Amino acid sequence: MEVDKGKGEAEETRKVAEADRDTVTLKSSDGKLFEVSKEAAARLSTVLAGMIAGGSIDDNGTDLKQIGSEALENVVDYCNKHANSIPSAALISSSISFNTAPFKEPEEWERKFVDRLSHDALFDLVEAANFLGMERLLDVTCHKISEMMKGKSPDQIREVFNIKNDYTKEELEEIRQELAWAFYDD
Amino acid sequence: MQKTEGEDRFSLLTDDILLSILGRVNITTAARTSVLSKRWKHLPWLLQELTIEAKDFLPGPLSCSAEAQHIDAAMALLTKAIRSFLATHQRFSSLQLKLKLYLVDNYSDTIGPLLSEAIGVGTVKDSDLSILGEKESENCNDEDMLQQASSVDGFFRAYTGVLDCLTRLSLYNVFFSERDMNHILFDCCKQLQHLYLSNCDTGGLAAWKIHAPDSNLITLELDMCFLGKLEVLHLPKLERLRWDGWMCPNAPLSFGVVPCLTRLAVRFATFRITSAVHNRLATSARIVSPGNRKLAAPITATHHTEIHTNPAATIR
Repeated sequence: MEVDKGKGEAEETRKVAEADRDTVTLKSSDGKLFEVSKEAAARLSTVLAGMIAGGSIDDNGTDLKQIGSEALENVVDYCNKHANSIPSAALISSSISFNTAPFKEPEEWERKFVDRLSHDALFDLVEAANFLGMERLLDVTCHKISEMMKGKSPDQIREVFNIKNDYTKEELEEIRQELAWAFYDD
Repeated sequence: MQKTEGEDRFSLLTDDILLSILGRVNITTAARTSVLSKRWKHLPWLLQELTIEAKDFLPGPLSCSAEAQHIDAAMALLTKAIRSFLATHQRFSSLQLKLKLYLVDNYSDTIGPLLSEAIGVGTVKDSDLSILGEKESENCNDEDMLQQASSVDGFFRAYTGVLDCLTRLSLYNVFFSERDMNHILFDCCKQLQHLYLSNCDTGGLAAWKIHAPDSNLITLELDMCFLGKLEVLHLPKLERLRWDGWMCPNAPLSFGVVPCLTRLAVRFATFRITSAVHNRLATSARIVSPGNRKLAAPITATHHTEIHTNPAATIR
């Protein structure tokens, strides 16, 4: 959803009053511009909500120097999809149980959204969500990473995420002894 | 995939994010991450919300009913897990602890004092306890439920400190006497906000009267509880009441002072009636009125009632 500058200028000429614009333009660390619904941005990101409320949104593109264009594209894509999604049946209280869990399972579209990402893109998105104070997106991405760990041994987790074991053999053995209860099925 | 060869993005995340991820995997997976690398060594012990469940220590996918020897082995490991976490957490406080366990005598005798002490010194500030039944509800007879009641009652009486910061409690397969249950739930558990009862009742389709003007209970959920009647005389904070699998011939519910009640869901039993359930109901019916088997008749009917309500409108 990248906006080229020509189109941005054309919009300017439409003389839409600043305050009435229903989108905000965000600029990635590598200078690319993205447009996102103001309502969705304010609803999903505490940081963007603060900037919108505080008037620190730049119409020529608000600088987000910490976020690369690939991650920002995913953020904007997520906001737009979120704005258009219809809550699933599970959320429309058809169930008799009173669900008081703080985190609701990802919606089908959210699952698909994170499933298609490469490892690097997923970690970029986690960091972007954290930076922008996007609680729901952070939940969904953390949930995805937790799913990638489930049922895996420490060796398998190291392999999946390229984690380097910097323990000595003796140190490792000591920890494993202390945590024998957690390794009962080894 | 444009994965940078060999780069470990995971370990570079902040502690807060890593803890949020560790909080979503089970306790054994979380604890085991401390062997990944030095970066991870202390992380699991920084979790502020802990869920320790017996099923994480049972072999394979949970079968319909766990064998006694498996339960024993699982409880031995779970006890070590609790000890391990509470010992390292002593320096910190404000732990939210969620436990799902079986009451097996020799382990309860270890877990009870561990919990009481941790709660006493403020390590644990909020606890959510589920006391599981060793049998599936449909395989339970009255004797099993009396046994479970005696275990639960014994545990709470021996370790009253456990009840101090209990905000959620779930009980399974308990045949309780009204007096004992009300004492535990409403006199001892002062912080209790959420109560879930599954296959728990007073026997003989008797009524359960709740008069607890000081209770903080917000949610009451009943599954398959064969109560003759539930009389909520006074629960000042109760907002939600759910009763699933109600199967009584009489008007099942009456309310006194429940000024906060906004959601009420009552569902008639819609499941296929197993012979065990049928027998239990028939037995109960016999206790009420010897020889009267007609009481079992209404359970063949099916209804589904869900009422979302504003108390002023319909609750009287």
